[in-house]
Amino acid sequence: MEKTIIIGLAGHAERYRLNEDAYGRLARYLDEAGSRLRNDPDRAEILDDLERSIGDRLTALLGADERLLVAADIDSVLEQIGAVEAGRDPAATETVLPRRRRLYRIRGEQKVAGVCAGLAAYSELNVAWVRTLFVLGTVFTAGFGALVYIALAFILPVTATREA
Amino acid sequence: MDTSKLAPLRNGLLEFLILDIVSSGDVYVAEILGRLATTDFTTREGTLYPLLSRMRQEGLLDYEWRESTAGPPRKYYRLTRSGREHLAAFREYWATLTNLIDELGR
Repeated sequence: MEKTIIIGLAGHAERYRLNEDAYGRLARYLDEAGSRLRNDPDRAEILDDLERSIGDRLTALLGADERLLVAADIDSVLEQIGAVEAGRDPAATETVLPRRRRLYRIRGEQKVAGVCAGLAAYSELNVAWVRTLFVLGTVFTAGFGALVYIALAFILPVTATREA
Repeated sequence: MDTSKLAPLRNGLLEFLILDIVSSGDVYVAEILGRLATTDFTTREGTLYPLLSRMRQEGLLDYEWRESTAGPPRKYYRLTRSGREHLAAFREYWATLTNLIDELGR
């Protein structure tokens, strides 16, 4: 015997009896609608609205008839409802901001903690120069440069390479 | 005439036509669809619900649930103040635009 699936739809007290094909069509429509609306904050509500409309139309289609709904019934109703067009997709209108240059510690190029490599990448100086300046600075400031280095090692975010 | 060139314009206009329809008082979705069905802007629920939802997020309209004589309760839509202001601004712009087109084509 053909399998009958009994479903309810949002806002409708009545139950609808569908065969497997009909149920498959309906489930696919709602799945697809759900995935097109995935970025919509009102996704659940819109899906409810759609279910309600589908229910309205199925009820009108059946009238007093309590028959089993087949794929053709679902197709005709979904044709009236139409595929979901996502409203304005927030992801699509997002503007891509130019990447701001930031100061990082660079793990991939580190001698100690990557601070000098990060400063070099940021300032576009040769890393050997930056290291030399840091060492000389430490010597001339009686160790203060080392403190700065340690502080930066704690403060700066880490990145693996200079591109990241 | 190649109507595909008009498609973006039509898509943008739909929102204002909906503001226009909703401005006439409390309406529910089937009424909006019915009013549009007699025009060049025939629309289906699949398009209308996401659009109404977005317009509500933007504060242009709002709805309330109301019992209906037949079937389940319905959402009745109405314009917010911001929606009415948008519609007024649009009408004004539209008038300017049609004037402009007439003027330029002379």
